[in-house]
Amino acid sequence: MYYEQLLSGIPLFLTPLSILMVCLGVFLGLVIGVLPGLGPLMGIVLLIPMAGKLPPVSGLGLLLAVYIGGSCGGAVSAILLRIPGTPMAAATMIDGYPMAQKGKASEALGYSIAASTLGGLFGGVILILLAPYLANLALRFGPPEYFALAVTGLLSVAVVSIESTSKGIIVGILGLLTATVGVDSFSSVYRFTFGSTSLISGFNIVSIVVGLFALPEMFHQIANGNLSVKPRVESVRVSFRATLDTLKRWRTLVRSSLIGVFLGALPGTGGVVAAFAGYAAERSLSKTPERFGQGAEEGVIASQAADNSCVGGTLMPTLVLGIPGDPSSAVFMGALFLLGFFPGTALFEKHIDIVGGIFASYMAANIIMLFMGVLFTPIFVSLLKVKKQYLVPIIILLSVVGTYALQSSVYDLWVMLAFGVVGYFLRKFGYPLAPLIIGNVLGQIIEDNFRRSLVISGDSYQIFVDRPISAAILLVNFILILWLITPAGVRKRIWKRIVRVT
Amino acid sequence: MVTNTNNWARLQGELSMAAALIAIASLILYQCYTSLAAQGAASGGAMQNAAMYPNILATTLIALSLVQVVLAIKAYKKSTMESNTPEFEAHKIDRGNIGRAIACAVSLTVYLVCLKYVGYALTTPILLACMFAILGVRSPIKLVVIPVSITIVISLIFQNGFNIILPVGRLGLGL
Repeated sequence: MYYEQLLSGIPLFLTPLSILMVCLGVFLGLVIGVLPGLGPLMGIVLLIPMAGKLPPVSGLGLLLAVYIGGSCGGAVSAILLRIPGTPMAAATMIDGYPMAQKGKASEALGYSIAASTLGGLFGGVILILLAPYLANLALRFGPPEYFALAVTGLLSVAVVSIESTSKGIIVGILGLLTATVGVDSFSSVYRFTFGSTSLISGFNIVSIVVGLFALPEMFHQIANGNLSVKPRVESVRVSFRATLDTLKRWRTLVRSSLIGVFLGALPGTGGVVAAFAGYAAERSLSKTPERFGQGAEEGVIASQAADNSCVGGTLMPTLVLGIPGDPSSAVFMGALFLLGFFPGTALFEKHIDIVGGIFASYMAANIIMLFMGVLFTPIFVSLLKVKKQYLVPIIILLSVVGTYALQSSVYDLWVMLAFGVVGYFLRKFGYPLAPLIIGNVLGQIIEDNFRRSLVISGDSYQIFVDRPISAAILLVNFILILWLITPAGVRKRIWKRIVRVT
Repeated sequence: MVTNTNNWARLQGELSMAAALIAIASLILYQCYTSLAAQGAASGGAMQNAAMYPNILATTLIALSLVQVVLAIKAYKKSTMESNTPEFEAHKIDRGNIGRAIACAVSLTVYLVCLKYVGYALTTPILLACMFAILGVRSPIKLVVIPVSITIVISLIFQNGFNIILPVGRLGLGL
C-alpha cells in the first residue's frame, strides 16, 4: 500500500521542469563540489531562492541534486590537486592523489564517479525500503521522544567534533540560543529583540550558514595567498569502463555503502565521518593494506561509495523524524519548511506523493550524475584553472545576493556579516562551526517539544523517563555524554576496536 | 620550536573566547531577569515561562566556558613544561595577504552600508572592482568590463529568472 502510494509521486517527477531541475542541480552540485571551500551546503543555500519559486518536487529535486552532485564533485580537486573540494573528499584524496601521480588520474576520477553513483543508489534503495518502518515507529513518538531524539542529534555532532567535544557542545548551545531570538511560540512574548523590529523574526538560517561558512572561508582563501597563480591541472578523459571495473569490486561497494547508510541515518554524523569510516574499514579488511595510501583503487571506491550512500541514509531521519543528519540536510529541511512541508509522519501521511517525487528525484540524480560526471569532467577540471583573485569576489557576491534574495531584506545581509565575524573567531580558536547550524535548526524542535512535554505532565520532568522510547533515547544520550567526558586516548582505542569488529 | 610567547598568545585567545561566551550567556540571563520578567514571562509553568529554556542554556554555556578555561590553563602549563621539546614550526603569517583579506571585508561592509541607499546597480560593480584590485588585478579593462558584466549577468539571473527585485536604493536605479 505504502509503495503504491509512493509511486503516485513519480508523475510529479516525470515532468520536463522537474527533470531539467534535477539535471541542473547535479551539474551545479558537481561544479560547486569541485571548487574548494564551497561544498553541497553552500550550493543548497544559494539555490533556495530559486527552489522556492518552483513547484515542490521540482524545487526539492533541484536542492537534492545539488546535495548529491556536491558530495561527489569534491573528489575532482582532491585527486588532481590534492585539495579536497569538500571535506568528505579528504578521504578520497588519500589514494586518489597518488593514483593521479602515477598517471592514473582518469581512472581515479572514473572510480570516484562510479562509486558515488552506485553508493548513492544503494543508499536510495535502503531509504525507500526502510522509511515506512521508521515512519510507523515515529507514530509512537510524542513530544518527549522528539525532544530526546533532537538532543541526540545535537550531542552526536559534538561527539564527532574533531578538535574538542566540549567546544562542539558550546557551539551547539550557541546555535540553540540563536533559535530563541524573536517571538516565543508559547507565550508570544518578545525574546532578546532589544527593541528592534527586525529581530522579532529572529535569524534566517540562510544568513547564518552563509555568514558562518562562506565568508570566513573566502577570507581564509585570500589570506592563504596564491591569488594570481593559475593552478597547473592535467587534462583528463573519463570513460564508462571505470563503472564496470567498480562493479567488479562489489564487496567493497556494498560494505562501504552499508557503512555510509548506517552512519548517515545517525543524526549528527554526515559524509565526512562516513567517508573516513568506509575507507578505514576497507583498509583494515584488505589482504594488502600496505597498498592503501599509495594509490589503491579500493580506497577511492570505499570513501566515495560511503560518502554518497550517506546522503540516502541522512534523508531518513530528516524526512521521517524531522531530525537533520548533517548541516546540509538541516538546510534542506529548512527548504521543506519554506515550501510549506513539515518533515515527520504528517509528511508521509498527507503528502506521500511529494515523498515519492523526492525519492524519484534522488534516484534519478544519482544516475544523471554518472553521465554528467563522465562527460563533463573536462569542464569541471577547467574551473580549477580560474584564478582565486576572480573566483573569490564572485563567490562573495553570489553569497550576498543569494542571502538577500530569500526575503529581499538588507537586514539579512547584516546578520550574515555578523555571523561571518562569529565564524571567523570560532574557526580561529578551534571551535567547530557545524554544531551551530544543527543547533539553530534543532533549537525550535527541542524547546517546543520540551515545553510541550512539561505542559502535558503538569511541569513534571518524570514524563521523560516514564515513557519507554523516550527513556531509551535518553539512555543513549547519557552514553554519548559519557563518551564526551572520556579521555581522548581511551576514546581512540575503543573506536579502533569498533572499526575492526565491523 | 613553539615558543612560550606562542603558548601565552594561545592561552590569551582561549581565555578571551571563554570571556566572550560568558558575556553572551550573562546578557541572556540579564534579559531573562529584566525584559522577560517585565513581560511576566520569567516565572510560572512551561506554558508561560519563556525564560526557562534560555536560562538552562545560558547556565550550561557558562559552566562549559569555565571548563574550557580550566582546560586551556592545563594545556598552557603542560606546554610550558614541555617547551624544551621541539615541536612544529609556527605557521609563517603573510601580513600582506591578511591585509588583503581585511581590506576585502571592509569593502564588503561599506557595500552593505551603501546598498540600501545607492542600490545594487551602482554599488556592485564598484565592490567587485575594488576586490579585484585588492587581490592584484591591474588591467583597467578587466577592472571595468568583468565587474560590469558579472553585475548584469547576476541581475538577469535573479530579476528575470527568479523574479527577485534587487535593491534600487533612494535613487531608484535598477537594471
